[in-house]
Amino acid sequence: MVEAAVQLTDVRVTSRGLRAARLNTGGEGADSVILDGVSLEVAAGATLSVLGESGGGKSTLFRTINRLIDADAGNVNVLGKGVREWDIRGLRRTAVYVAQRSYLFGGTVREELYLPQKWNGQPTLKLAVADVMQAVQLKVELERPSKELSEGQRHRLNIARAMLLRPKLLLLDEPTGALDVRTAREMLGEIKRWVENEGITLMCITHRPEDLEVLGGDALILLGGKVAGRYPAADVAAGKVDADVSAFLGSPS
Amino acid sequence: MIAQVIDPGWLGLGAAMALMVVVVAVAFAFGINMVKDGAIATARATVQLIAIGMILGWVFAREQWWAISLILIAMTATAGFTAGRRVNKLLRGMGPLITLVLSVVTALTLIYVTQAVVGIHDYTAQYFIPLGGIILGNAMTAAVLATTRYAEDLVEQREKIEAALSLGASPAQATRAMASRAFMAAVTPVINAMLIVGIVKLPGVMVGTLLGGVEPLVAAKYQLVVMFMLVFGDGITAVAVLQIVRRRAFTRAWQPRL
Repeated sequence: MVEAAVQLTDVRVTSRGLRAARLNTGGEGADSVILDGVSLEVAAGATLSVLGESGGGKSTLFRTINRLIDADAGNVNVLGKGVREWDIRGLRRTAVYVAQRSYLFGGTVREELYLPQKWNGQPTLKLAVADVMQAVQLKVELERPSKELSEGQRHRLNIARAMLLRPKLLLLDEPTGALDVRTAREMLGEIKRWVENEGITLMCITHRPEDLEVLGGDALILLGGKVAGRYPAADVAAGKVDADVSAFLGSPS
Repeated sequence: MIAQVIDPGWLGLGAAMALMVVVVAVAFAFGINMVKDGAIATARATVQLIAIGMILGWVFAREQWWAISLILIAMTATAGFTAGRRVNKLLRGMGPLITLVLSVVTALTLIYVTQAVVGIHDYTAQYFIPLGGIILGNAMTAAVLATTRYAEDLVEQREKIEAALSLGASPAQATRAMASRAFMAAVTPVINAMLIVGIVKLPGVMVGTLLGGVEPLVAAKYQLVVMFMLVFGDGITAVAVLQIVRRRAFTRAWQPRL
Protein backbone atom coordinates (compact mmCIF):
# COMPACT_ATOMS: atom_id res chain seq x y z
CA MET A 1 0.00 0.00 0.00
CA VAL A 2 1.23 3.46 -0.87
CA GLU A 3 1.63 5.78 2.10
CA ALA A 4 -1.06 8.44 2.25
CA ALA A 5 0.21 11.98 1.81
CA VAL A 6 -2.94 13.39 3.36
CA GLN A 7 -5.60 11.69 5.37
CA LEU A 8 -8.64 13.39 6.86
CA THR A 9 -10.97 11.53 9.19
CA ASP A 10 -14.37 12.97 10.14
CA VAL A 11 -13.11 16.53 10.03
CA ARG A 12 -15.58 19.04 11.35
CA VAL A 13 -15.14 22.80 11.23
CA THR A 14 -17.79 25.25 12.40
CA SER A 15 -17.92 29.02 12.29
CA ARG A 16 -18.34 28.94 16.06
CA GLY A 17 -15.09 27.01 16.43
CA LEU A 18 -13.26 29.43 14.14
CA ARG A 19 -14.57 32.40 16.09
CA ALA A 20 -13.54 30.84 19.39
CA ALA A 21 -9.98 30.67 18.13
CA ARG A 22 -9.97 34.42 17.50
CA LEU A 23 -9.55 37.33 19.90
CA ASN A 24 -12.13 40.07 20.27
CA THR A 25 -14.78 38.40 18.14
CA GLY A 26 -17.32 37.83 20.90
CA GLY A 27 -19.69 34.92 20.73
CA GLU A 28 -22.15 36.25 18.20
CA GLY A 29 -22.69 35.61 14.52
CA ALA A 30 -24.17 32.86 12.44
CA ASP A 31 -23.42 29.36 13.61
CA SER A 32 -22.81 27.36 10.49
CA VAL A 33 -21.05 24.09 9.82
CA ILE A 34 -18.32 24.64 7.25
CA LEU A 35 -16.93 21.11 7.08
CA ASP A 36 -19.29 18.37 8.22
CA GLY A 37 -17.46 15.11 8.83
CA VAL A 38 -15.11 15.17 5.86
CA SER A 39 -12.95 12.09 5.32
CA LEU A 40 -10.56 11.65 2.46
CA GLU A 41 -7.22 10.20 1.56
CA VAL A 42 -4.70 11.17 -1.06
CA ALA A 43 -1.92 8.74 -1.89
CA ALA A 44 1.62 10.09 -2.06
CA GLY A 45 2.35 11.42 -5.51
CA ALA A 46 -1.32 11.43 -6.53
CA THR A 47 -3.43 14.35 -7.69
CA LEU A 48 -6.78 15.31 -6.23
CA SER A 49 -8.92 18.13 -7.53
CA VAL A 50 -11.56 19.60 -5.27
CA LEU A 51 -14.75 21.05 -6.69
CA GLY A 52 -17.74 22.58 -4.97
CA GLU A 53 -19.90 25.66 -4.55
CA SER A 54 -18.23 28.85 -3.42
CA GLY A 55 -18.28 29.11 0.35
CA GLY A 56 -18.65 25.35 0.44
CA GLY A 57 -15.56 24.74 2.57
CA LYS A 58 -12.94 24.02 -0.08
CA SER A 59 -10.43 26.57 1.17
CA THR A 60 -11.24 25.68 4.77
CA LEU A 61 -10.41 22.07 3.96
CA PHE A 62 -6.99 23.10 2.64
CA ARG A 63 -6.38 25.37 5.62
CA THR A 64 -6.83 22.50 8.05
CA ILE A 65 -4.07 20.64 6.21
CA ASN A 66 -1.39 23.31 6.67
CA ARG A 67 -2.90 24.18 10.05
CA LEU A 68 -3.77 27.79 9.40
CA ILE A 69 -6.86 26.71 11.31
CA ASP A 70 -7.61 23.84 13.65
CA ALA A 71 -10.59 21.56 13.10
CA ASP A 72 -13.22 21.37 15.86
CA ALA A 73 -13.16 17.60 15.62
CA GLY A 74 -11.61 14.83 13.56
CA ASN A 75 -8.08 14.06 12.51
CA VAL A 76 -5.86 15.54 9.86
CA ASN A 77 -2.72 13.59 9.01
CA VAL A 78 0.06 14.69 6.72
CA LEU A 79 2.55 12.00 5.70
CA GLY A 80 1.18 9.72 8.38
CA LYS A 81 1.59 12.23 11.22
CA GLY A 82 -1.18 14.26 12.85
CA VAL A 83 -0.84 17.96 12.02
CA ARG A 84 -0.73 18.79 15.73
CA GLU A 85 2.33 16.58 16.14
CA TRP A 86 4.24 18.32 13.39
CA ASP A 87 6.69 21.10 14.08
CA ILE A 88 4.65 23.93 12.60
CA ARG A 89 7.31 25.27 10.26
CA GLY A 90 8.06 21.75 9.08
CA LEU A 91 4.39 21.21 8.32
CA ARG A 92 3.92 24.49 6.45
CA ARG A 93 7.02 23.81 4.36
CA THR A 94 5.96 20.22 3.66
CA ALA A 95 2.38 21.05 2.75
CA VAL A 96 2.54 24.43 1.04
CA TYR A 97 -0.77 26.19 0.56
CA VAL A 98 -1.21 28.88 -2.07
CA ALA A 99 -4.32 30.96 -1.48
CA GLN A 100 -6.51 32.23 -4.26
CA ARG A 101 -5.36 35.82 -3.96
CA SER A 102 -1.73 36.47 -4.63
CA TYR A 103 0.44 38.62 -2.39
CA LEU A 104 3.80 40.16 -3.07
CA PHE A 105 6.20 41.11 -0.32
CA GLY A 106 8.26 43.63 -2.25
CA GLY A 107 11.50 43.67 -4.19
CA THR A 108 12.47 42.07 -7.46
CA VAL A 109 11.07 38.86 -8.90
CA ARG A 110 14.19 37.08 -7.70
CA GLU A 111 13.85 38.42 -4.15
CA GLU A 112 10.20 37.52 -4.19
CA LEU A 113 11.09 33.94 -5.13
CA TYR A 114 13.88 33.61 -2.57
CA LEU A 115 12.05 35.17 0.36
CA PRO A 116 10.47 31.95 1.68
CA GLN A 117 13.89 30.29 1.55
CA LYS A 118 15.23 33.12 3.65
CA TRP A 119 12.39 32.71 6.13
CA ASN A 120 13.08 29.01 6.34
CA GLY A 121 16.85 29.33 6.38
CA GLN A 122 17.27 27.18 3.27
CA PRO A 123 19.69 27.71 0.42
CA THR A 124 18.11 28.38 -2.96
CA LEU A 125 19.02 26.25 -5.92
CA LYS A 126 19.55 28.31 -9.06
CA LEU A 127 18.49 25.46 -11.33
CA ALA A 128 15.22 25.08 -9.50
CA VAL A 129 14.32 28.71 -10.21
CA ALA A 130 14.43 28.13 -13.96
CA ASP A 131 12.45 24.96 -13.46
CA VAL A 132 9.57 26.50 -11.56
CA MET A 133 9.47 29.58 -13.77
CA GLN A 134 9.06 27.21 -16.69
CA ALA A 135 6.40 25.24 -14.84
CA VAL A 136 4.23 28.29 -14.22
CA GLN A 137 4.93 29.64 -17.71
CA LEU A 138 6.38 32.84 -16.35
CA LYS A 139 8.86 34.53 -18.63
CA VAL A 140 10.04 37.68 -16.89
CA GLU A 141 13.38 39.20 -15.99
CA LEU A 142 14.37 38.08 -12.50
CA GLU A 143 15.65 41.58 -11.71
CA ARG A 144 12.37 43.28 -12.54
CA PRO A 145 10.46 44.80 -9.62
CA SER A 146 7.64 42.40 -8.88
CA LYS A 147 5.22 45.31 -8.64
CA GLU A 148 5.45 45.80 -12.40
CA LEU A 149 4.00 42.36 -13.12
CA SER A 150 0.47 41.94 -14.40
CA GLU A 151 -2.19 40.31 -12.24
CA GLY A 152 -1.82 36.98 -14.02
CA GLN A 153 1.98 37.10 -13.77
CA ARG A 154 1.83 37.89 -10.06
CA HIS A 155 -0.41 34.94 -9.58
CA ARG A 156 1.99 32.61 -11.33
CA LEU A 157 4.89 34.12 -9.36
CA ASN A 158 2.99 33.18 -6.20
CA ILE A 159 2.71 29.59 -7.31
CA ALA A 160 6.36 29.47 -8.40
CA ARG A 161 7.42 30.79 -5.01
CA ALA A 162 5.56 27.99 -3.29
CA MET A 163 6.97 25.35 -5.63
CA LEU A 164 10.48 26.55 -4.95
CA LEU A 165 10.11 25.39 -1.35
CA ARG A 166 10.03 21.85 -2.77
CA PRO A 167 7.05 20.75 -0.71
CA LYS A 168 5.93 17.15 -0.50
CA LEU A 169 2.40 18.39 -0.94
CA LEU A 170 1.25 21.35 -2.97
CA LEU A 171 -2.17 22.82 -2.17
CA LEU A 172 -3.38 25.19 -4.84
CA ASP A 173 -6.53 27.22 -4.23
CA GLU A 174 -8.09 28.06 -7.61
CA PRO A 175 -4.81 28.57 -9.44
CA THR A 176 -6.59 29.15 -12.73
CA GLY A 177 -9.15 31.67 -11.51
CA ALA A 178 -7.19 34.72 -12.66
CA LEU A 179 -6.00 33.26 -15.95
CA ASP A 180 -7.44 32.94 -19.41
CA VAL A 181 -8.37 29.45 -20.57
CA ARG A 182 -5.32 28.88 -22.75
CA THR A 183 -2.76 30.10 -20.18
CA ALA A 184 -4.56 28.14 -17.47
CA ARG A 185 -4.38 24.97 -19.49
CA GLU A 186 -0.71 25.39 -20.31
CA MET A 187 0.21 26.25 -16.76
CA LEU A 188 -1.71 23.36 -15.20
CA GLY A 189 -0.12 21.00 -17.71
CA GLU A 190 3.35 22.21 -16.76
CA ILE A 191 2.61 22.08 -13.04
CA LYS A 192 1.27 18.58 -13.46
CA ARG A 193 4.45 17.52 -15.27
CA TRP A 194 6.57 19.13 -12.57
CA VAL A 195 4.79 17.44 -9.64
CA GLU A 196 5.00 14.09 -11.42
CA ASN A 197 8.72 14.51 -12.00
CA GLU A 198 9.33 15.52 -8.41
CA GLY A 199 6.94 12.98 -6.93
CA ILE A 200 4.88 15.70 -5.26
CA THR A 201 1.28 15.23 -4.19
CA LEU A 202 -1.01 17.84 -5.70
CA MET A 203 -4.34 19.06 -4.36
CA CYS A 204 -6.06 21.66 -6.43
CA ILE A 205 -9.29 23.59 -5.98
CA THR A 206 -10.98 24.48 -9.22
CA HIS A 207 -14.42 25.25 -10.55
CA ARG A 208 -13.60 24.52 -14.16
CA PRO A 209 -14.30 20.97 -15.33
CA GLU A 210 -11.88 21.53 -18.22
CA ASP A 211 -9.03 21.86 -15.68
CA LEU A 212 -9.72 18.27 -14.66
CA GLU A 213 -8.72 16.89 -18.04
CA VAL A 214 -5.28 18.37 -17.59
CA LEU A 215 -4.91 17.53 -13.91
CA GLY A 216 -6.03 13.91 -14.10
CA GLY A 217 -6.13 11.85 -10.93
CA ASP A 218 -9.29 12.04 -8.85
CA ALA A 219 -11.86 14.76 -8.34
CA LEU A 220 -13.63 15.27 -5.04
CA ILE A 221 -16.96 17.07 -4.94
CA LEU A 222 -17.67 19.02 -1.77
CA LEU A 223 -21.27 20.12 -1.29
CA GLY A 224 -22.62 21.72 1.88
CA GLY A 225 -19.47 20.83 3.77
CA LYS A 226 -19.79 17.14 2.95
CA VAL A 227 -18.08 14.91 0.45
CA ALA A 228 -20.70 14.38 -2.24
CA GLY A 229 -18.56 12.06 -4.28
CA ARG A 230 -15.15 11.15 -5.55
CA TYR A 231 -14.60 10.16 -9.16
CA PRO A 232 -11.79 9.76 -11.62
CA ALA A 233 -11.21 13.28 -12.96
CA ALA A 234 -11.88 12.11 -16.49
CA ASP A 235 -15.38 10.95 -15.52
CA VAL A 236 -16.26 14.32 -14.02
CA ALA A 237 -14.94 16.11 -17.09
CA ALA A 238 -17.07 13.79 -19.22
CA GLY A 239 -20.13 14.26 -17.01
CA LYS A 240 -20.24 10.63 -15.86
CA VAL A 241 -21.30 11.36 -12.28
CA ASP A 242 -24.27 10.89 -9.92
CA ALA A 243 -27.38 12.99 -10.36
CA ASP A 244 -26.84 15.43 -7.44
CA VAL A 245 -23.25 16.07 -8.42
CA SER A 246 -24.15 16.54 -12.04
CA ALA A 247 -26.89 18.97 -11.02
CA PHE A 248 -24.22 21.00 -9.24
CA LEU A 249 -21.80 20.82 -12.15
CA GLY A 250 -24.59 21.94 -14.44
CA SER A 251 -23.66 19.44 -17.10
CA PRO A 252 -26.47 17.80 -19.04
CA SER A 253 -26.79 14.12 -18.17
CA MET B 1 22.35 84.77 38.21
CA ILE B 2 19.50 82.57 39.42
CA ALA B 3 16.43 84.69 39.21
CA GLN B 4 13.47 84.11 41.44
CA VAL B 5 10.44 82.79 39.50
CA ILE B 6 7.52 85.19 39.65
CA ASP B 7 4.27 83.59 40.79
CA PRO B 8 1.45 84.56 38.38
CA GLY B 9 -0.86 84.59 41.40
CA TRP B 10 -4.56 83.77 41.40
CA LEU B 11 -5.37 87.13 39.89
CA GLY B 12 -2.86 86.52 37.12
CA LEU B 13 -4.37 83.12 36.52
CA GLY B 14 -7.76 84.78 36.18
CA ALA B 15 -6.27 87.18 33.65
CA ALA B 16 -4.87 84.21 31.71
CA MET B 17 -8.29 82.58 31.69
CA ALA B 18 -9.61 85.78 30.14
CA LEU B 19 -7.64 84.72 27.05
CA MET B 20 -9.80 81.59 26.86
CA VAL B 21 -12.93 83.68 27.16
CA VAL B 22 -11.74 86.03 24.41
CA VAL B 23 -10.89 83.27 21.94
CA VAL B 24 -14.19 81.48 22.60
CA ALA B 25 -16.02 84.76 22.05
CA VAL B 26 -14.11 85.50 18.84
CA ALA B 27 -14.88 82.00 17.56
CA PHE B 28 -18.52 82.49 18.45
CA ALA B 29 -18.60 85.74 16.52
CA PHE B 30 -17.47 83.75 13.49
CA GLY B 31 -20.26 81.24 14.04
CA ILE B 32 -18.15 78.58 15.74
CA ASN B 33 -19.61 77.36 18.98
CA MET B 34 -16.86 76.06 21.24
CA VAL B 35 -18.34 77.39 24.44
CA LYS B 36 -18.92 73.95 25.91
CA ASP B 37 -15.60 72.48 24.78
CA GLY B 38 -13.71 75.53 25.94
CA ALA B 39 -15.44 75.54 29.33
CA ILE B 40 -14.84 71.85 29.94
CA ALA B 41 -11.19 72.04 28.87
CA THR B 42 -10.59 75.10 31.05
CA ALA B 43 -12.28 73.53 34.07
CA ARG B 44 -10.56 70.17 33.74
CA ALA B 45 -7.11 71.60 33.12
CA THR B 46 -7.47 73.97 36.07
CA VAL B 47 -8.70 71.35 38.52
CA GLN B 48 -6.15 68.70 37.40
CA LEU B 49 -3.16 71.02 37.39
CA ILE B 50 -3.94 72.84 40.63
CA ALA B 51 -4.49 69.47 42.30
CA ILE B 52 -1.21 68.03 41.07
CA GLY B 53 0.53 71.29 41.93
CA MET B 54 -0.70 71.01 45.50
CA ILE B 55 0.17 67.33 45.82
CA LEU B 56 3.64 67.86 44.39
CA GLY B 57 4.09 70.90 46.63
CA TRP B 58 3.48 68.64 49.60
CA VAL B 59 5.89 66.01 48.30
CA PHE B 60 8.60 68.55 47.37
CA ALA B 61 8.38 70.12 50.82
CA ARG B 62 9.01 66.80 52.56
CA GLU B 63 11.47 65.01 50.22
CA GLN B 64 10.47 61.62 51.58
CA TRP B 65 11.61 58.68 49.44
CA TRP B 66 8.27 56.91 49.89
CA ALA B 67 6.26 59.97 48.86
CA ILE B 68 8.32 60.37 45.68
CA SER B 69 7.94 56.66 44.96
CA LEU B 70 4.21 56.82 45.57
CA ILE B 71 3.84 59.63 43.05
CA LEU B 72 5.88 57.74 40.45
CA ILE B 73 3.88 54.55 41.03
CA ALA B 74 0.58 56.42 40.78
CA MET B 75 1.69 58.04 37.54
CA THR B 76 2.76 54.67 36.12
CA ALA B 77 -0.52 53.02 37.07
CA THR B 78 -2.53 55.84 35.54
CA ALA B 79 -0.46 55.75 32.35
CA GLY B 80 -0.82 51.95 32.06
CA PHE B 81 -4.54 52.09 32.71
CA THR B 82 -5.08 54.89 30.19
CA ALA B 83 -3.03 53.09 27.53
CA GLY B 84 -4.90 49.83 28.18
CA ARG B 85 -8.24 51.58 27.82
CA ARG B 86 -7.21 53.24 24.56
CA VAL B 87 -6.19 49.98 22.91
CA ASN B 88 -9.00 47.94 24.44
CA LYS B 89 -11.11 47.91 21.28
CA LEU B 90 -8.36 46.27 19.28
CA LEU B 91 -6.80 44.09 21.93
CA ARG B 92 -8.27 43.41 25.34
CA GLY B 93 -6.35 43.04 28.56
CA MET B 94 -3.24 44.97 27.51
CA GLY B 95 -3.39 47.39 30.47
CA PRO B 96 -1.44 45.33 33.05
CA LEU B 97 1.20 44.32 30.52
CA ILE B 98 1.69 47.89 29.30
CA THR B 99 1.91 49.02 32.93
CA LEU B 100 4.67 46.49 33.52
CA VAL B 101 6.58 47.65 30.44
CA LEU B 102 6.18 51.30 31.43
CA SER B 103 7.48 50.71 34.94
CA VAL B 104 10.55 48.82 33.78
CA VAL B 105 11.38 51.27 30.98
CA THR B 106 10.81 54.33 33.18
CA ALA B 107 12.85 52.92 36.05
CA LEU B 108 15.78 52.02 33.80
CA THR B 109 15.74 55.33 31.95
CA LEU B 110 15.45 57.33 35.15
CA ILE B 111 18.31 55.50 36.81
CA TYR B 112 20.57 55.93 33.80
CA VAL B 113 19.79 59.59 33.26
CA THR B 114 20.06 60.61 36.89
CA GLN B 115 23.14 58.53 37.66
CA ALA B 116 25.20 58.46 34.47
CA VAL B 117 24.06 61.65 32.73
CA VAL B 118 23.16 64.35 35.22
CA GLY B 119 24.80 62.89 38.31
CA ILE B 120 22.06 63.22 40.89
CA HIS B 121 22.90 60.96 43.73
CA ASP B 122 20.08 61.90 46.04
CA TYR B 123 16.57 60.68 45.44
CA THR B 124 15.10 64.15 45.07
CA ALA B 125 11.60 65.07 43.97
CA GLN B 126 12.91 68.00 41.93
CA TYR B 127 14.58 65.66 39.39
CA PHE B 128 12.86 62.32 39.70
CA ILE B 129 9.27 63.47 39.42
CA PRO B 130 9.48 65.73 36.35
CA LEU B 131 11.86 63.38 34.52
CA GLY B 132 9.78 60.32 35.46
CA GLY B 133 6.61 62.09 34.40
CA ILE B 134 7.87 63.09 30.98
CA ILE B 135 9.29 59.61 30.29
CA LEU B 136 6.02 58.01 31.31
CA GLY B 137 3.78 60.34 29.36
CA ASN B 138 5.76 59.83 26.19
CA ALA B 139 6.20 56.08 26.64
CA MET B 140 2.47 55.73 27.21
CA THR B 141 1.72 57.47 23.91
CA ALA B 142 4.36 55.33 22.22
CA ALA B 143 2.77 52.16 23.62
CA VAL B 144 -0.66 53.19 22.37
CA LEU B 145 0.61 54.22 18.92
CA ALA B 146 2.64 51.03 18.45
CA THR B 147 -0.14 48.73 19.63
CA THR B 148 -2.83 50.46 17.61
CA ARG B 149 -0.88 50.60 14.38
CA TYR B 150 0.35 47.00 14.66
CA ALA B 151 -2.99 45.50 15.68
CA GLU B 152 -4.80 47.40 12.92
CA ASP B 153 -2.35 46.10 10.36
CA LEU B 154 -2.70 42.56 11.68
CA VAL B 155 -6.44 42.75 11.14
CA GLU B 156 -6.32 44.53 7.79
CA GLN B 157 -3.53 42.46 6.30
CA ARG B 158 -4.59 39.13 7.68
CA GLU B 159 -4.68 37.43 4.28
CA LYS B 160 -1.24 38.64 3.36
CA ILE B 161 0.09 37.46 6.71
CA GLU B 162 -1.52 34.08 6.13
CA ALA B 163 0.16 33.90 2.74
CA ALA B 164 3.54 34.40 4.41
CA LEU B 165 2.75 31.94 7.21
CA SER B 166 1.77 29.40 4.56
CA LEU B 167 5.26 29.69 3.12
CA GLY B 168 6.84 28.85 6.46
CA ALA B 169 7.28 32.37 7.84
CA SER B 170 7.12 32.81 11.60
CA PRO B 171 4.71 35.47 12.91
CA ALA B 172 7.72 37.76 13.42
CA GLN B 173 8.87 37.26 9.83
CA ALA B 174 5.37 37.52 8.41
CA THR B 175 4.73 40.83 10.19
CA ARG B 176 8.19 42.41 10.04
CA ALA B 177 7.15 45.30 7.79
CA MET B 178 4.09 46.00 9.95
CA ALA B 179 6.13 45.90 13.16
CA SER B 180 8.65 48.35 11.79
CA ARG B 181 5.87 50.70 10.69
CA ALA B 182 4.38 50.50 14.18
CA PHE B 183 7.76 51.15 15.78
CA MET B 184 8.29 54.19 13.58
CA ALA B 185 4.83 55.47 14.45
CA ALA B 186 5.86 55.36 18.11
CA VAL B 187 9.18 57.20 17.82
CA THR B 188 8.40 59.59 14.97
CA PRO B 189 6.79 62.31 17.14
CA VAL B 190 10.00 62.80 19.14
CA ILE B 191 12.24 62.35 16.11
CA ASN B 192 10.28 65.00 14.24
CA ALA B 193 10.43 67.30 17.23
CA MET B 194 14.22 66.86 17.27
CA LEU B 195 14.45 67.97 13.64
CA ILE B 196 12.72 71.31 14.13
CA VAL B 197 13.71 72.01 17.71
CA GLY B 198 15.17 75.46 18.27
CA ILE B 199 14.49 76.50 14.70
CA VAL B 200 10.73 76.52 14.59
CA LYS B 201 9.89 76.40 18.26
CA LEU B 202 11.27 76.21 21.74
CA PRO B 203 10.39 72.87 23.27
CA GLY B 204 8.51 72.50 26.56
CA VAL B 205 11.37 71.49 28.79
CA MET B 206 13.52 74.37 27.60
CA VAL B 207 10.68 76.85 28.06
CA GLY B 208 10.12 75.51 31.58
CA THR B 209 13.73 75.61 32.64
CA LEU B 210 14.21 79.09 31.12
CA LEU B 211 11.17 80.34 33.02
CA GLY B 212 12.64 78.72 36.09
CA GLY B 213 15.65 80.99 35.72
CA VAL B 214 18.10 78.48 34.31
CA GLU B 215 20.92 79.69 32.09
CA PRO B 216 19.99 79.19 28.38
CA LEU B 217 22.91 76.91 27.59
CA VAL B 218 22.09 74.68 30.56
CA ALA B 219 18.44 74.71 29.48
CA ALA B 220 19.50 73.63 25.99
CA LYS B 221 21.56 70.78 27.43
CA TYR B 222 18.64 69.61 29.51
CA GLN B 223 16.42 69.71 26.48
CA LEU B 224 18.86 67.51 24.59
CA VAL B 225 19.15 65.06 27.46
CA VAL B 226 15.36 64.87 27.60
CA MET B 227 14.98 64.26 23.88
CA PHE B 228 17.54 61.47 23.75
CA MET B 229 15.94 60.00 26.84
CA LEU B 230 12.50 60.13 25.27
CA VAL B 231 13.56 58.45 22.04
CA PHE B 232 15.12 55.71 24.16
CA GLY B 233 12.06 55.32 26.37
CA ASP B 234 9.62 55.38 23.45
CA GLY B 235 11.69 53.00 21.35
CA ILE B 236 12.24 50.41 24.07
CA THR B 237 8.59 50.62 25.07
CA ALA B 238 7.49 50.11 21.46
CA VAL B 239 9.76 47.10 20.98
CA ALA B 240 8.52 45.48 24.19
CA VAL B 241 4.87 46.20 23.47
CA LEU B 242 5.14 44.88 19.90
CA GLN B 243 6.53 41.58 21.23
CA ILE B 244 3.59 41.32 23.62
CA VAL B 245 1.03 42.10 20.95
CA ARG B 246 2.56 39.56 18.59
CA ARG B 247 2.55 36.88 21.24
CA ARG B 248 -1.12 37.50 21.88
CA ALA B 249 -2.10 37.85 18.24
CA PHE B 250 -0.80 34.44 17.15
CA THR B 251 -1.21 30.97 18.58
CA ARG B 252 1.76 28.72 19.27
CA ALA B 253 0.92 26.99 16.00
CA TRP B 254 1.44 30.32 14.21
CA GLN B 255 -2.25 30.90 13.53
CA PRO B 256 -3.50 34.49 13.47
CA ARG B 257 -5.97 35.29 16.24
CA LEU B 258 -6.89 38.82 15.24
